[in-house]
Amino acid sequence: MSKNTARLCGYLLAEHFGNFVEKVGLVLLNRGRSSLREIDQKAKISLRLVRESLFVLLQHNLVTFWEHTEGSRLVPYYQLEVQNVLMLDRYPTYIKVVMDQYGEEAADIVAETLRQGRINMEHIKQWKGWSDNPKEAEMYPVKQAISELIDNRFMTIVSFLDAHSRNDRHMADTKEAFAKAGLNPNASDKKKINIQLADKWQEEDGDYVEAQTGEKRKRAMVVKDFEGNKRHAGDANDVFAAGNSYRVNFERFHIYLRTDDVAKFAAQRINPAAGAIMKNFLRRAEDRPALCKTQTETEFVRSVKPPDDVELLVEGDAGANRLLEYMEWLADGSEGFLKKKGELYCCPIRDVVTRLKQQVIESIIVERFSEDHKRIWRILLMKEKLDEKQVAKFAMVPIKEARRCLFDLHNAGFAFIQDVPRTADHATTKTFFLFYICIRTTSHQLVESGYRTLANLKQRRAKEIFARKLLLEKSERTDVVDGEGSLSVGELRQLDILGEVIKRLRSSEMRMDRMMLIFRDY
Amino acid sequence: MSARKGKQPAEGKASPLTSEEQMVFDALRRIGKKVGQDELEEKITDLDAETLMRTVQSLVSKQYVDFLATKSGEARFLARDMEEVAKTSGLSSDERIIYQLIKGVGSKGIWIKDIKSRSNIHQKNVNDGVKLLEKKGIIKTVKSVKQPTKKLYMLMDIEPSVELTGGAWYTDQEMDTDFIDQISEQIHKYIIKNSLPRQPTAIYSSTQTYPTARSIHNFIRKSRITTVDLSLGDVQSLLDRLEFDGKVVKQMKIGGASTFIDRMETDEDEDEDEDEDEVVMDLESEGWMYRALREASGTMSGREERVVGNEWTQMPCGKCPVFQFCTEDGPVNPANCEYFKKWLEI
Repeated sequence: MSKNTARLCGYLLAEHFGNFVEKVGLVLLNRGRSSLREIDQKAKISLRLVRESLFVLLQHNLVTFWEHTEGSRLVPYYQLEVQNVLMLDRYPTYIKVVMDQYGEEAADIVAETLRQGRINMEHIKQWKGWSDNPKEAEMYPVKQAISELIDNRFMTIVSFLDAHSRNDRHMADTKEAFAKAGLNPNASDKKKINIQLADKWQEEDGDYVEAQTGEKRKRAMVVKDFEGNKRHAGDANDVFAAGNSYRVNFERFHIYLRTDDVAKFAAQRINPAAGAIMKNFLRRAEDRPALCKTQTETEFVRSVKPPDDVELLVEGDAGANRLLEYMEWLADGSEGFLKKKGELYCCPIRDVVTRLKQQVIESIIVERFSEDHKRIWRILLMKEKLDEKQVAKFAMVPIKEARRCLFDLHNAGFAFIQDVPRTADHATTKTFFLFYICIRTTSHQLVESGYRTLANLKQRRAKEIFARKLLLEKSERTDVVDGEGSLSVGELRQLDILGEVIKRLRSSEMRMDRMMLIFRDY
Repeated sequence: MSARKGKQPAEGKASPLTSEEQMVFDALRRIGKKVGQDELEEKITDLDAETLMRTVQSLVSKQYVDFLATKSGEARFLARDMEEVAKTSGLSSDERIIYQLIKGVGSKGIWIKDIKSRSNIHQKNVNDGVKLLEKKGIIKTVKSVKQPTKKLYMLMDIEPSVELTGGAWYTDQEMDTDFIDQISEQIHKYIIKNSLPRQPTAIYSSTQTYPTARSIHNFIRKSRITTVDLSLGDVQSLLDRLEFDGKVVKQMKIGGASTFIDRMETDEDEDEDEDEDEVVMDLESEGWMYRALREASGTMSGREERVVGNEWTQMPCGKCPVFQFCTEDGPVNPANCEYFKKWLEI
């Protein structure tokens, strides 16, 4: 993990959970997987605080553990889930999604869940101020909202599996499966085991699995773990069974936000109607994939529900079916939002996301450099590996200019060089230098730059607050709050300025996070 | 002059021809192209083969006829025009070799070092020969856009090739980027006009056709946007450039009658001067249609919203020249950053 990621995680933990949790988090970040004893030694805080910090982190799914046998003892080792820590700043976005989709009650529940890490009905009773035996009518809106959120996978029932990282689980499963298979499994046995394991993991992730009969197996939570484990007694089939806790499913939010961004992209490239069609198309397929990143394309369907609020305008010799015209347009080679097979359409979502990334990279290149740079970048994108002379020819710019642009792009991590030596001595004069681009590498670099930028914004925010610390303390004094003491005009002005500065920095952080969403999570 | 050796005809005046020579020369002039020995014997039946060859030989030595060999070693003869005969009649043998080399490369031009290495003549004699030919107005020097410092020699009356001049896009050995930008903009406007529906939120039906390279080429010729004669290939380069800019997209042309082309062709005399090169390019220029993208057309969509924008470049870090150098507690850090200070000034 990079220095920038560690720095940002530190800031995030401190901001959301305070300094003690930050200390424990940083130990886990810097040391990797550690036991309680090791954390205690490094964190330089009392054991009680370490335990409590770990509890908080476990509660929020930011730490997972795995038990290792050491002699006769089972020692739990803890590891920080960095990806989840990096989501901490995105919580307002998630709440807004639920607010738009399911209303205020659901948004409140999601907000409370995010605040607490996970919630159960007992906690909801306290939070809502209900009596010990609340009436069903009183609980109905809350239960209704939770059911809806769980049905649509925005929330999920906490499983025993959540306490372990996915890698640990997969490693243990593999070990167990191979142990069962005997001493020397042959190639076909290994293949069979791997298929069974992949199937199992897909099911654990909550993905749809095609049963061998061709029927769709219903997505089911893994009940097995609940059965043998009294501590985590709960029932996955009954949402409100005693012992069930609920947490937020980030992946589902990412799928939702991805649909929004793709729809916006289509609206911008074609028109609002095309955007609305894309939104309908993808929304319908949203409950299928468990993980946002692993999905390559949606299922093939014949058609899609036409948008209600946008008119489908077509000029020229349009047939009666305007929706079909739009689908054809979206499936056209130069657009590529949809893919056509016979009469059926699917969305090659991975390709569309790559194009979305390309578009963001292009806008960054234009803003940082110039239109010429963007053209050259796109030439490399379309023509792959080229030397500077060929680039200059395609871009119709003087070779000096092309060279300058290429080196700007190379230095900023948008283009890369491959050398093809003509002689064994690798003499530079006898070597072809071919420029090319790699969206994947550029995305990684942009994510890294994003972490650095976010950390910078947070550091600057802390500095701005620190610089006006005395004023802030004064404004929070009881006599000032009660109206007995008062602030001077200059102090009030300073407070306003601070408010504006914080607002600008915070909004930049949020916007930056949207860029990270595209490059890291889609 | 030391370079001159052997018996030479008087400068500027061609050696007189015998009647046989005159007859063969006239016959070769009439043919006007390279001919082999057999063909020549067929054409000139008055002389026997031996006399004919002797006469041709004599014409070659008197500089009236070029002797050229094919790759297979077969001899070919070509009559020079009288002007050329007059010009080259006074040249020494070295100068004649230099002249032949320069003539041989045609519009591509030849570098003085190449003349030396190919002719095996002493450097000084090459220099003198070239100087004399230039002084006489037989050859000229040109410079290539690729290597502006290198002098290339070619015959006076030959236009330098596109490779040397850079084609339509070069003015005085330099790429005319303003001209390219202007022409691209005109083409872009034309494509916008002919490929975007009148209603800003509509699309065209799938049977719609859009401008092709050829129709755009015709538009440029008709509208007289420029006095420079742009070829179809030049227009194609501009269209590729617009595509690289992300302003237009290429779409495969649907088969069958194309209304757009029909419309374009009704009022113009198509392809009267089409040569072979353009026929070869037909697939490229006719197989693709170009349509403009709305986002590039600015006001056409009437929507300001960007898909994701560039959040990063809107804040100081996105454009910061010392971004990589900036650390949490280094000499350049976000807490004392001047760019942040300026950005946060309210």
